[in-house]
Amino acid sequence: MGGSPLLVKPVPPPFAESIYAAVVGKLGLAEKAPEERIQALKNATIEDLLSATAQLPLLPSVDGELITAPATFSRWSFQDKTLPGTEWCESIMIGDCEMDVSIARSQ
Amino acid sequence: MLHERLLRMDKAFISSAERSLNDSTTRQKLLNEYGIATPDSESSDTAVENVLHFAHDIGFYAPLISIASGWPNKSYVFHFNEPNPWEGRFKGVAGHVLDVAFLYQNYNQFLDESQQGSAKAFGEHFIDFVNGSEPFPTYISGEGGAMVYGAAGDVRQKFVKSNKSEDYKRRSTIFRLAEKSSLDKLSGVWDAFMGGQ
Repeated sequence: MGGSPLLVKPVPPPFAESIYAAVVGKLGLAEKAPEERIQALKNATIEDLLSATAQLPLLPSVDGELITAPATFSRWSFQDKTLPGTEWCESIMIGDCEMDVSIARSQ
Repeated sequence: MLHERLLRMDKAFISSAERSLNDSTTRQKLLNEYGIATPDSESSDTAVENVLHFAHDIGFYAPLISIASGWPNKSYVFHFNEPNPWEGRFKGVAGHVLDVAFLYQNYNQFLDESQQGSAKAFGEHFIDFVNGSEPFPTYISGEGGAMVYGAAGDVRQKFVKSNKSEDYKRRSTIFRLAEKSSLDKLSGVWDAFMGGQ
């Protein structure tokens, strides 16, 4: 169960936007109005969505709401107490596997 | 993620680090300590493994210790070192989510008696934690303290109290490098490499 936001960090909004634009382009929706895009995305088959997002880094993004700041070691050392979980979460159990990084190399 | 980049991975890593880490002293130390300083002309598994060791330390181990040390409430830390019993590239070492395979007890029939013991202990500790009981002593910043599954010797599951990484079968390299640099800067080196920069 090794892994944390410090491994796969949330990306800044412009980066997320560029990924979105690439997916929308691949689906042929670049010229459509937002409502039409939403409808098309809802109606798209799983196969279409998979092929439009292949090879693209679909990562969490700093949206200012759910994720309010970039992931850094200093932030995740909880010195500035900005993470709300420190208020309500009583305890954590956390660990790593000796070669967790095998996830990066499957062959 | 990296399958297509295995060939000459160490060489690519060195040039990426030259671009992403200006501090040449830390960069050279990083390459030396992880055995990546001289590119392996044969692109051997060892060369790839050495780069991955750095990746593990900055991507998994250092975050684990930073989060556990800084967390203002209780933190329980474990290191899972049971060797993977299945055939394949990572046989003999605890790869990603091997702990999950042990946790759910679904594969116990494939494990020997001592590994079954680790699976059972891990499962019990996890259930204790979820129920608000103490699975084992807490981690203390600066002092350490972690449950090791798959420890060397006769006792497979052992709570180790030490501030030395090596006592948990981990490398302390990343923290030594961070003393003169910072974990955020070192993390930037891996991010740049993964981002193809």
